[in-house]
Formats: sequence, C-alpha cells, structure tokens
Amino acid sequence: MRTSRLPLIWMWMVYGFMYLPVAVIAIFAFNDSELVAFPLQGFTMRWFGQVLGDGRLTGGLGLTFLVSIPVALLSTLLGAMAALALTRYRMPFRGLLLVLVLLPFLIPKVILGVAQLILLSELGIERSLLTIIFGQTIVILPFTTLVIASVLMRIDRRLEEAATDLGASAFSAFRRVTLPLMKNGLLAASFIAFVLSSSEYVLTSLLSGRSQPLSILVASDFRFNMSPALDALALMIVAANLALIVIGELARLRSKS
Amino acid sequence: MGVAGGIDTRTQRDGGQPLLRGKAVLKNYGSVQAVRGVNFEIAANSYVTLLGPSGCGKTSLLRMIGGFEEISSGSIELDGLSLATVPANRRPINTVFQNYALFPHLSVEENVGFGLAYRNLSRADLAAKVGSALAMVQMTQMSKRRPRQLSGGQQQRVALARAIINEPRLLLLDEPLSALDRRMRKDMQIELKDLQRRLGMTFLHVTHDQEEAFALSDRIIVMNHGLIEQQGASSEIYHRPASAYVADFLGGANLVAGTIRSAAEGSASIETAIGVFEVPALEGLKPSSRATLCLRPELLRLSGKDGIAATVTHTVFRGAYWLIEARASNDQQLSAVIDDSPPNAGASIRLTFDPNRAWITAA
Amino acid sequence: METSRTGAWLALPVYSAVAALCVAPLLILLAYSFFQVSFVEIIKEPTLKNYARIAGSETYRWLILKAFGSGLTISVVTAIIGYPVAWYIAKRVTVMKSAMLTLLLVPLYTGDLVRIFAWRMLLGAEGVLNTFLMWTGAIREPIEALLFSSLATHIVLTYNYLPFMVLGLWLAFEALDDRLLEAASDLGAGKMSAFRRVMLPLTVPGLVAGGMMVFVMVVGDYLTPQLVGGASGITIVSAINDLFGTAFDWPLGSAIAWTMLAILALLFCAAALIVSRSTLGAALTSGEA
Repeated sequence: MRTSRLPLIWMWMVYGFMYLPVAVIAIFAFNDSELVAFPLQGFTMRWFGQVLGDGRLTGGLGLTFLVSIPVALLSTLLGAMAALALTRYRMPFRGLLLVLVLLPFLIPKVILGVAQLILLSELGIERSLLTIIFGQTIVILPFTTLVIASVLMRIDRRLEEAATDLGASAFSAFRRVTLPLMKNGLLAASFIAFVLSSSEYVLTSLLSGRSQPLSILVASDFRFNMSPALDALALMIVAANLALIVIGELARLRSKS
Repeated sequence: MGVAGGIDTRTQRDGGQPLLRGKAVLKNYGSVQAVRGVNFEIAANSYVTLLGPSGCGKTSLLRMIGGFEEISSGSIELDGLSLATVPANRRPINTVFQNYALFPHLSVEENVGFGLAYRNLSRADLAAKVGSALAMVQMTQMSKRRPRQLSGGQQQRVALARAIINEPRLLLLDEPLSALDRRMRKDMQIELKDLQRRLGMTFLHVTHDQEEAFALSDRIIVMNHGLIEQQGASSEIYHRPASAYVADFLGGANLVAGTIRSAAEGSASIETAIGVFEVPALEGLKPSSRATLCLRPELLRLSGKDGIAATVTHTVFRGAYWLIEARASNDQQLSAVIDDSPPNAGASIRLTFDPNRAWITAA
Repeated sequence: METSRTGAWLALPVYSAVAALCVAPLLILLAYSFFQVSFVEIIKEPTLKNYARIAGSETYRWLILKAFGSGLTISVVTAIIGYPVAWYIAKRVTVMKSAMLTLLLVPLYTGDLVRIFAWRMLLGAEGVLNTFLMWTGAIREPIEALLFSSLATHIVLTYNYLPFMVLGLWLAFEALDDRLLEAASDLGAGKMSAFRRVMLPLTVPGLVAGGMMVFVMVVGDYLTPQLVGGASGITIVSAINDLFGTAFDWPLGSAIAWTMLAILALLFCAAALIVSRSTLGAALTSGEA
C-alpha cells in the first residue's frame, strides 16, 4: 500500500499541540526574568527556591496528601470490586452496575458538587476533609474501574478455572492467581486516582470547608495571576503528576504482556 | 437423525461399574440447549475421545464434568457417587485446558506444584513430586522458566504435568493439541497415549479431529447438536457407524441413500439408485424405511465386467495411493482408493466391493 | 449459584457508594428544584415556578443553547482533528501503540488549573505567543484578541477534550477489520469511496461515543470559559455555580441543573442506542474482549 507522509505530519502537529503548554511551563520556570515572555533571559533556579520557601504552600501540600492518599486507596478498592463484578462473575443487572459506575463521570462536576452540597446541608454535615474525600472518590471511581477492568479483561478466565481445577477454593484462586496478575492494574489505578484527586478543583472547592488543600490554595493565584514563581510551582505539580502516571502506565502495560 | 442418548448399552468389559456415568445430562444457556439430555459411560483406565464439530456441545459436557458449568438437569456420577454437590476444586478430576492456561506469573515448577499446596505435603515431598512429574514429561531442564519462554509443545507438557501430579481419577483434555503444528501434534499423540498407559489413568479427550480420535482412543463418543450420536470402540465406530451423520463426520465414506427392502438379524437388503445390496446392517431398521449404505473408499475395487457402472471424474495422487472420484447412475458420487495405474478422467469403470465389509445405517 | 453471589457481594459496596454519593444527591437536587427561596430562607413547598422562570427567561434559554452549541462545535472540531490520529494509532502504529495512546492522555493529568494557567501564559497579550511573534518580527503589535475571547475558549476546550475523542475513535478503529477495506478496493472502490462507504459507517459508533464524551464534558466545563473566555465566559454552568454561591438561590440553580441533566440524558439514550446496535458496543458490554 502506498503510504503518504501526510498522516505522520498530522500526528506530529497534534502531539505538538498537546505538549505545547507543558513545554511552555517547563521553559519559563527556568527563565531568569520577572516577565513570562520572549526573548528568554538566561537560566535560573530561583523561582523554585521562592516556592519552596512559602510555608502556606507546603502546608497545603500536606493537606493534599491527607486527602489524596485516602481517595486513591478508597477509589482503587471500590474500582477493583466493580471491575471484578463486571468482568469476572455472572451476575444479574451487570449493565445497571456499569451504568451506575460510569454515571459520576457523565454528570457535570459542578452539578454533582452542588447536589452533594445540598445533601450535606440537609443532613447537617459540616464540610471537612472527609467530605472532600468521599466526594472525590465517587468521581474518580469510573477511572479506576476502567483501568482495572482493562487489566482483568486480558487475564484469561481459564487461569482461574485451572486453579480451581487444581484444588483451589474461589478465594485461594483469587489470592494466588487473579490478584498477582491484576496487581499492576491496581498500582496504575491508585496512581491515576492520586493524581486526579490532587489536581481536582471544581468539586474540591465546593466541598472544602476551612481546611483547604493545595489545589484550592493556589487556585486564586493560578486563576488570576501570572509569575515565574507560579510557573515553577506549576512545573513541580506537572512533573510529579506525570511521573506518577508514567510509572503507573508502565506497570499496567507490563501486566499485559 | 441418529439414536439419541447412547445406543451402546452393553456392559463394560470388566463387568464392574463404570468410572464415570452421565444420566440424561442437559445444559441450557438461556433458551439455547447446548447438551440435550445425554447418557454415557466411561470405563476406568481407558482412553476415551469426545468427538464432534465445534458447537456440538462436547466442550459444555467436558466443563460440566470438570465442574466449571452447572448441570441444568440430569446427573454425573463418579464411582457411583453424584458430583452434583462437589465443587470443581474438590473433584478428583483434573483438566488440561485448551491453550494450556499456564499461570504466567509462576515458573514451570511453581505451575506444576500449584495444586499440591492443598495437600499438606512436606517441602521435600513436594519437591520430589514436582521433580518426578516434570521427569515424566521430560521437562526437568526447564523447571525455572516462565511459561512465555516455552514453545507450544513445551507448554503442553507442563500443562500435562500440572494436571497429572494430583493423580486424578479422571483427566480431562480440552482440544489439547489444537494449538500445535501438524508434526508436533503427531508426536504428542503418541506421547499422550503412552502416558495414559504408563499411568493407568482414565483420559477423556475432547477433539473435533477424527484422525486424532482414532489415533488415541479405545473408545469414542460422537456428538452432534447436543446429542450423542454413537459411543463405542473405535473400530466399531469406524466400521459400523450408527447414523449417516457419524459415517459422514468420520470422513471419506461413500454414502448412498436408499430404502430398506427387507431386514434380518444383523443384515438387511437395501435398494439404491446404484443397485440392490444385501449387507450387514444396524439393528432395528424397518422394511421400506429410508436408510444409508456406507461404502468406505478402500472397500471399492475396480473390476473387469460386473459391478457398479461409473464414469471417472478425476483422479488425485495422494502419495501412497490414488484416490479416484467417479460418478455412478443418478449422479451418485463414489470415491475409491487404488494402489497404482489409475484410469483417466472420463473412463468408464466398474466397481465392486466385499458385501461383508459394507454397512447399512440409519438415514 | 456461588459465583453470582460473590459478584453480588462485590457489587454491593459499589452500589451503596454510588447511591449515597451520586444518586441521592441528584434526587435531593431534583426535590430542591421544586422549592422556592424567600430572602435567605428556602420554602419547601412544591412549585413549578423555577422551571417557568427558566422557560420564560431569554438569558437562560440563550445560555443553555450556547452550552449545547459549544458542545457540538467542540465535538465536531475534535472529531475532525482526532479522526486521522485515531486511524494512525490503530492501523499504522504497531509496537508503540499503548505508549502512543498514553502519551496522548498524559497532558490531561496536569490538572484543570495548571492547564489553564499554561494557556493563559501562552495566549496573553504580553504572553509567550505574542512576544515570540514580535521577537521574530512576524508581528509588530501584540494580538489582543488571543486571550479572553471566544476563540481562546474554543482552543483550550479542544485541547482539553481531544484525547477523549481519539480514545473513542481508536476503539472503533481497533474493531475495524482491515480486510473490509481491502475487500472494498478489490471490488473497485477508490480511496474516497472506500472511506465513505466502508470506513466511515463502521466508525460511527466511535464518533458517537467520543462525541458524547466530549459533548458532556464541554457542557459541564465552566472553568475554561470563565478563565480564558473573558466577557464571553459566562456559561449556564457558571450560572448554576453562582446561584449556589453569591446569588443564593439553590432552588433555581437546582432547576437549571436538572434541566441540563434531562437534556443530556435524552441525548445519551439516543447515543447509547446507536452504539449498542454496533458490534463494538456488544463487545464492550459483554465484558469479554
């Protein structure tokens, strides 16, 4: 078949477009100028020093961990249960389960957020870190479920039958065969959940009370200001997120082969 | 078509009860009946093949025996005891899965030793058992490897070792050779048969390949559309098929439709477009009912003057022999096997056969 | 039977979580949409006044229409940009297929705010793009209209949701058997004709699935228009947000939210019908791929 170069050029342009903002963040975080503008003025690390010296931000970072680690664990656990139920067991209403798990992804976050807000006020529950954790878990559940299900769908069901055939109980077959084979999927799902949680803004801003994680603290800065120090902070967030995602993806892809 | 649910009700050779017995076994998937109430018996220490085209219900039946599917109705008994309440992991039955289902995260020896974990063995006993099972299939050298580092034939051996290490009463093999190339398949057939003799274990082997079935089995169960068409010794199935379907599926036979004129004990007279023949026949054929005359190609001989008149349509060289395709009256296709000097296409020939070796079966 | 009981036990916590954290809030939201507000108090007597207000208000009608217009525009734009990309990844990339898909999705994990911050740096009047063009001498005056315009909103929305469209289309392309295209050309179809008569119809489920995802996310995105759209940045969703914040009219906000949900649900049922009739949908829902 005759191959044209046009599709390849198009691919490069689209991928270039997708990485343009990332590149801009990376370049100007090291630019020795108060202005985020061309021409470049030389290399500096001082913007990073400025960010790390800001006690307010480091406190917010601590709270982010307090929220995002529980969210990652909870949404991975629920996602694993949903994915197992969807792919591994004959059960009634499987279609309903699929729709319900994906539902939070399909509802605009603002609408889901205000709806949760009303429920909280009806029940007389104060907004706290706990409300953020539960609110985020449900919107991240579709992602963890799909990631884990994609790994489970590639595990031959005959492997579990073989384990049963060799004398393993259902639980033992799960522990000795399914779990080791889906381990990387769980890892990838929890990393993705952590990243989605730590950078979630809309829902978090609606559900957070007095204790505000990093994403809320820096929100007004990111929304309305522009400075090389903010850029350095953005780069650190991007680098941390991308590192986690890439590690998770590598783990997930390895489990496929 | 055929005789549902086991034509063969003769007692086992050793007189005792069979190892495995199925009674009116039925399996529904929703409104689809995969297995439509079959009876069967499998004697201890035999090599039995479950033969049929894809979708005939043979895999469903195997999975019910293994405990991976529930029986919709009927029962399966092992040593006279119903398996209904015994889950798969408690059945003294092991399976060699199609595509082997080796655990990709475990080494060869961990795969083979998987089932021993449920048997309270000392570490030394466990290692010894794994060692001897691997030796049995000549895989000792590969014990530390992962499944993906093995060839198809090697994976097959590991799957075998893993299944026989628990010394099951019955070993199920689900199309175990289908992933191998032709050469390897022939070698493994010999090894499987040899292994079954050495272990004195009962093998139930599912396949759609009739050649494989004849190469391996003491007995064959032929299935079609969820029913058992025939079960019996391999030679019996080959020479005395219980239905036109079986004769056709086993391949090669010339099937000539006709009408029974008269039937006696063990033989019948059939009227067909190519003549009237009195040959051995299936029991129970009624006069004036439709029936099928089966003539194996190796049975037909060229003759000088009398016999069935036919015109050669083409000849095919098959290496060891020639296959002649000919057309007799009423467009009846006949194929015959001869050793050398075949007639040319278009030649008029006459074919005869030894009536004692022909067979009349149900339509 | 045993396995289905295990499945039910596994599904139970998931059902409970979704019921408590998603279904229950939405039902309360529905209830509130029939209430009314008087000064700072919510009067819990059922009334249809909120819905009547939405129907009677030119502004809200216009904002709802604008939201769906944006959703449609971005769906079409991402489909045009994404179609060749999805085709290339599915049919031309062999070894690095998963890596290419991951690479496309990775920029999404930077987070909404950081992403928008980067685009503001890029498009601002004294931002990266303008100063770069001035530095290279391509322009003399900065292009003011880059940021805080409807154009900026659409660029960033396209950026945000393009990967989802590619994902939907890629699934459809993976399910498309190459031999069908070979058969088409074997039967005399030219490249355009094979595309129009074979490839396009068979990738419609991917277009619908990807388009629906993009559509619903664009409709629900209020940060992007607000932060890069300037004066054009008011959306129906930001109106909901305001009604729950400064304006304090929860019942009206709830009614607008449910109006949006109802329209989205209708569109979704239509899309689901199209996708489920295809083989791709069957493969996805049967759970065995």
